[in-house]
Amino acid sequence: MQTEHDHDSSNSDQIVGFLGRLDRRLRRNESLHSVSRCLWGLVGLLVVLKLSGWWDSPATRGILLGAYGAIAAGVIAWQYTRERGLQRSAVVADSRADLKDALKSALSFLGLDQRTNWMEVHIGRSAETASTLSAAELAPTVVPKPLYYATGAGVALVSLFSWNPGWLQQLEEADFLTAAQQEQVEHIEELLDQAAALAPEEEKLEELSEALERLRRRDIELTESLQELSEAQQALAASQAEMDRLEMDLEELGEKLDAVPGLSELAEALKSQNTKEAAELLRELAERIADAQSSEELQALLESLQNSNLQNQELAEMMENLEQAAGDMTAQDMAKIAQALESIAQQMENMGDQMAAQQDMEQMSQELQELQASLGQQQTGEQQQMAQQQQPGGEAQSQAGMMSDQMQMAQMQGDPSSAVPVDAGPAGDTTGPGGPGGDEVLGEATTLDVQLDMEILTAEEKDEPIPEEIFERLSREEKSTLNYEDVRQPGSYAEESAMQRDSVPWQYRSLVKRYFLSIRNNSSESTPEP
Amino acid sequence: MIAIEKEISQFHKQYAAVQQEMGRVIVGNVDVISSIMSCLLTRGHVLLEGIPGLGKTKIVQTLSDVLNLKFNRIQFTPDLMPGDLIGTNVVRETEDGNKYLDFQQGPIFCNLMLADEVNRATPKSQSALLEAMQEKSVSVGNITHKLEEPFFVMATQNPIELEGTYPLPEAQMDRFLFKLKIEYPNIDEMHAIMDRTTQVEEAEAKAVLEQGEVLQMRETVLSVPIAKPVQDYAIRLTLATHPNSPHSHALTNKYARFGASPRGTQAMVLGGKMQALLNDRVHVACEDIRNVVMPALRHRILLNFEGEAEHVDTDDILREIIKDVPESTE
Repeated sequence: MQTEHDHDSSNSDQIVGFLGRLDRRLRRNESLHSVSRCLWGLVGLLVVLKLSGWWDSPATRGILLGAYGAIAAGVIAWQYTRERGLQRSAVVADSRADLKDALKSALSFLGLDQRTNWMEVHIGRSAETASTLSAAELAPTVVPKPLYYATGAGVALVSLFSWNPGWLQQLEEADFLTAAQQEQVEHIEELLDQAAALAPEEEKLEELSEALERLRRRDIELTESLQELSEAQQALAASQAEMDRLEMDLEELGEKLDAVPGLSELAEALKSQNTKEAAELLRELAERIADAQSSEELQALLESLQNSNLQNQELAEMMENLEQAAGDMTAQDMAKIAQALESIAQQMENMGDQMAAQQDMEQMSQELQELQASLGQQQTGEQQQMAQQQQPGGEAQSQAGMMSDQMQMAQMQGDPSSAVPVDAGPAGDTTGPGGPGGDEVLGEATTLDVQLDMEILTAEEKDEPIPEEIFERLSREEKSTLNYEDVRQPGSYAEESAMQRDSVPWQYRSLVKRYFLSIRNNSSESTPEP
Repeated sequence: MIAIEKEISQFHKQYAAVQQEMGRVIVGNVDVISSIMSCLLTRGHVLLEGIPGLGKTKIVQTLSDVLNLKFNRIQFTPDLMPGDLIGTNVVRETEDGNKYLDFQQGPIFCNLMLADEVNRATPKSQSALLEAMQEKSVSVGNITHKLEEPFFVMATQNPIELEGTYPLPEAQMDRFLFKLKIEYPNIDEMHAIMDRTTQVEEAEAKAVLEQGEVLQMRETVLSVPIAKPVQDYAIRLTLATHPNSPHSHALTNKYARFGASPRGTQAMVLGGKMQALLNDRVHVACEDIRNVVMPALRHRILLNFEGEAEHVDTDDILREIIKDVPESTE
């Protein structure tokens, strides 16, 4: 048999249970709203990241987005889990089910230590009502529309930034690269195409191409671009050294063959680095390898090769092959020698292509150096502008000046990656330790476009007192003749007494009020304020 | 629990019977009758304001007939003395020739009293009445005479004739639980009034309740519980009438000199209990409080100079307060 205590407990459980369910649904809906707000915040953060350029730096982007995500998750979790009691859900249930504060009152009565019978009756009635209510109907899960909009906007932005990163950059590009820089880049790309056609296996050309593409799109910071270009230029310069050694080897071979009768043309071609003509002559030699004269020429060629010390690896291998083939000459196997000579002729032709490509690369290297200088100057300008925006007045200027000095110092030390102003002459034209351009002739001295003249401003000093002193002196001299209360009190009293008297008929009260208001205005104008 | 349900059911039956009988005589004024019953059943008194001829006296007379209570009507005039109201000691002589003072009860010794045009009497007489209203007793000499329960005063005042009147002081106005305004009847109600009052036989109400039953109904009303959040709402409404306080309303700051006292909150809570019962509820809702804000607070707000001069109605201020004060602070 159910006791009265059990019945009370059951009523209480019924009410509290229902309110608990409703509370959870309300928290869920609130959390969805919070998620929506956080997503809008994320959209705003994405835009800020993009506009500030931090989007292009994966590390910065990751840190900022991660921090924002952690904060947003914390806020949402706190909102969902924080202790708020059931009063709010009781108010919501009363309002949505039109219960006339029944659950709110019941919850309040349940919290009392001593309850009257009337309260118990009300709790019983409320428990019955709560059993007929559905939390899902009173607080259905509603995904707020702004959540959809924010998600859509976020996905769209991320897609735009990720899939078509040139979208915004194309707009910025016009401002980023000047017309001259654009022309330089295009010219370098033309040379790059030519060089790539002649030497398709060159990896450094591919790297340079990628670096230029990134520079165009501004996928990375200008500093990083400059670094990449500098590395590409150094790689080109390194290949130039290799090509120099090849040219020296060819010249040495030419000089040695110059003394061999019948090979003077070949020697001349090698000395002039005309590899195509040398290849033709070698083919001719291979064709007439059978006759005795040619054999003598070949023998002389081999002797000269044995005495030579070739530095170019490729050329040295070719000549080694030829010596091996010549070793067979004693076995009268002329076909192999002819084949070796044909192979050398083929290699010579290839070398010709490489040398032509190397010429393009050399030109590219020069162009790159100029482009770096130009971009470096631009970077200095941007840094000065930022410093002026961030620092007030002269401090900014001095800092910008320091930056400019640092750039100049870097230039003097011959750092190729440093920014060098174009109109300040070629790199290394000052008295520093010298860099790539240290051997060049000094450029003309640079001068300021504007010569500043000192101007002295003259002003007259007068002995007259400043306005503040005049004001204070007059204030000390003059005193208020009447206290404020003495002026205002009679008026206020008259107003009060006149209006409080019930003998003033209603219809005349506004008239009386207007009268006193008119007096008040006149008195405030005529009465001197202390 | 069943006893309470029965008690509530009994209350509804009795109230319906009173309303039905009143309705046989009084045309319209359902809200006024309900408010008067609220005051009667919550130990309060009521101040009726309306022009002459709107049936103020008729309502009280009918109510006394229906409730079978002792009814007295006193016309307040400037020469009315306190003794005329509460009674006086008269010298009497016994059979053996000894003289003694005998208290002759005044008209205030009744259950229902109509103080007609209360603002026409002097403050001295008004004070005597209002003291009796508060203390439910009168003192003559050294003897205190207890008034019989229920003691219910219904005072009327005419708002248009101010000449030769003594408006009730604010402290005394505060003693009335409700101040009710009686409006003109509409056309249909006028027809009904004409039909009932211009024939040979006038409608009469018969007694449906006894004195004991009235007191039982009073206990029932006062037993209705009110939850803290709802009480909090009533308190915040009261505080909103206080000018220059943290809870004050903008209109109060502009037009009010003083706001309602705690008696105002009491009036709202008691009126709310009656409203809850009438709506078959055993708890007071915020809606019940809102329904009685006007009669409970309109006479407790004192207008300042600006308010008086601009003829601001306290009802307008209260309407704005009701609109702006939230039910819950959550």
